[in-house]
Amino acid sequence: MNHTPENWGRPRDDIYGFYDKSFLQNTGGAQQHTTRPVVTGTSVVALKYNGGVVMAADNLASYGSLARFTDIKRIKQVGDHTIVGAGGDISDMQYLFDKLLESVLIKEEYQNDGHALRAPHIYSYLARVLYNRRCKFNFLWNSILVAGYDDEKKPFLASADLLGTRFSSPALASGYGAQLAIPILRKIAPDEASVTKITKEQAIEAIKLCMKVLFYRDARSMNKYSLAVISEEGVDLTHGVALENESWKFAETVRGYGAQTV
Amino acid sequence: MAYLHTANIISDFPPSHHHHTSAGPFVQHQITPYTNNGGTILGITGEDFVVLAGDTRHSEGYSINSRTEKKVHRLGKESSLVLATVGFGADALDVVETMKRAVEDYKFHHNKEMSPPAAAQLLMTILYSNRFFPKYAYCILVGIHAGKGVLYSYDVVGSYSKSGERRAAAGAASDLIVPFLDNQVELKNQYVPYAWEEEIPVQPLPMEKVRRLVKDAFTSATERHIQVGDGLQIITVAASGVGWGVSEEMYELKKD
Amino acid sequence: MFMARSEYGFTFSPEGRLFQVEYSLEAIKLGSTAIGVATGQGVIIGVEKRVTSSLLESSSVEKIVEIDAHLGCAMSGLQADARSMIEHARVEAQNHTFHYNEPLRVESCTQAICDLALRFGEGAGGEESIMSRPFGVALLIAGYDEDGPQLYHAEPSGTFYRYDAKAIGSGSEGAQAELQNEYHKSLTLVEAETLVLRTLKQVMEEKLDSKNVQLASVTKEKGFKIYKDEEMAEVVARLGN
Repeated sequence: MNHTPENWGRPRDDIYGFYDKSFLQNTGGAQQHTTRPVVTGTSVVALKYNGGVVMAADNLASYGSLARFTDIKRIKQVGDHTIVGAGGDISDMQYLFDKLLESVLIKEEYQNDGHALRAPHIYSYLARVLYNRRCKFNFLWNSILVAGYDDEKKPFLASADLLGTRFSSPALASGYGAQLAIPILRKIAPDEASVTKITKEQAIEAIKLCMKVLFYRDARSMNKYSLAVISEEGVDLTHGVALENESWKFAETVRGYGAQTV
Repeated sequence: MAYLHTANIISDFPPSHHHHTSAGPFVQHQITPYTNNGGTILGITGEDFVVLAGDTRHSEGYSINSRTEKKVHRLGKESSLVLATVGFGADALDVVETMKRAVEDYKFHHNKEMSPPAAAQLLMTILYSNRFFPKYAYCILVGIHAGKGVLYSYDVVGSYSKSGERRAAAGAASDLIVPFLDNQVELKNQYVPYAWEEEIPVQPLPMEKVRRLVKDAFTSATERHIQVGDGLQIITVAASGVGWGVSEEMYELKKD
Repeated sequence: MFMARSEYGFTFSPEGRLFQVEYSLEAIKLGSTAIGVATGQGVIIGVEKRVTSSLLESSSVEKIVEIDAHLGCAMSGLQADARSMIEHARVEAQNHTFHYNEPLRVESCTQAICDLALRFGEGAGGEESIMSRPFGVALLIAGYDEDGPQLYHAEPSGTFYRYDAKAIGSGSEGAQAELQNEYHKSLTLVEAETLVLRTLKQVMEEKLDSKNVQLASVTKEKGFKIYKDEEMAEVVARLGN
């Protein structure tokens, strides 16, 4: 039996005889574009602090509403001082991380010229890849955050999405994080000047709080996540960090919908 | 970011555990390759200078992505050309990058800076070459030509006036700003006091007056438009006595 | 297949020479003489037509052509080769106006023509090769832009230089010596007309008349203009005997 995608959903030749494909536009096999994300990751959140950046993303990969994989790493270290976090389609993320970024790193390693690709370069590259793919109507269904240091050794944090849209801010979050985490993060980092007053510990605390709020409110999230802290010493990336002080006690006090009658 | 969620996609794949009552299994969520990132740009020419400004809010839907994304870009270190773009952020930046590269290339090929009329025509050809998959970027291009401030404005497929314009506004709050400019720059509906229907003659405005108008336009637009605010970037290109100069001023706008 | 190549084909000989290119320069020395003189008022270019038969319609010998309203050129060597160079230059000039709403500069035009010159042989650097041999023609490119009237000489080797006055073709040695003596910065356009014709007259084998030479000028006011029969007759008459 023929298992190639162009035969999906068509009568089997061995049972129904030859299927006339002449009406199909593409004779060389069907054009394959992603039309929707399938296995997805949810928010990525990140915050700059005085001397670096903190980023987090949970370890869940959902298949619709099914919690399909619970050990997915959605933050990747790229070089000594750069990390990339991704939400959206997991296979597209793995293509970006394991194929594209890996080959960029290998090429850079071969050069061995003492020059290191920093966060703005990795970001520029990824944003261009995403924009190029959107121009071909063949999206990489992701929203990514890139963090590290810029050429002046100042903390760098920027975002790019499947459309190629790019922007930068002291606090960034994709997906539901944009609704739930950003208000928390902007309270302590309203602008670039305030970043210099935030310590590493404060930043980690704020990001952890965001992960908790997101776990409570985002149905496609989980209580285990990857936490990355960039400081001058390098990247401290830990996978499988458990949510602290998880408690659903607050749910009892939530009123106005659900099963309660009063 | 709505594209990232499967929840609002009506389909059987991936399987949802509730029944949907839609037209059938083939109803598909259609992705669009565009989004609107809000913001507004505004340019006004004087006699021997031109001012180009844009707010620094970058938004999508009701979310503010960033309060500090600049929309006004110089096209070369030695060039008087300044380009502001607004619309779909990714396309807008792409147009700017393409123009920057073209200006640099031109210098290598022809041993001179690209003039504003040349850049104006080039921008038209770039925008029109994408006629059937347009770059969703409204552009205002300014510079100094023959000692005078010049300004060109474009729609997304490249329509522009070769003779240039006195002023232009584009983007989210252009509807609010254009009538204000009609009145304050073109002096529409302005009459000499106590004279019988004698119009006040239009004349080039001094630089300080222009900068004041720009700030007033944006503070007013910020009051009424949700996509406008945070910060204002004002670039002035002046053909002052000895050569010209390009200067940038940042001005705070309300962040609500 | 027989190919008229030297032993070293299109690559360097051990002495570091490109024979094919050198031969092409020789081909130009067989061509009819062409002369250009640049003045502050404009550029004059002139060619001898070599009317080899009294049955030949002399107006069909076209060795001076227009590239754009402000650009023209005179040729010496294989005229057929010049056609593709001129075509390229014309397209380049039109493209420039289309993209930039301004005339192409004279130097840029010359550069565009010279970019073609090395696209022979195997083809290198991903650029498609378009010819089996170098061009067998040299051009004098006259034009006007914001830097004033200019005259350029473009060779099959792809090199080009700007000249105040330049002669190419079979009579070029004698003619160039004459130009060297006679040229000065304050020449008027009318003086340049006679200088070009007088120099041509000295190096031509046939007796110069208004039918076997052709002049053209590029000025700020009128751009590129080929001299009509009456105008040619007038300048030739001015020469005397």
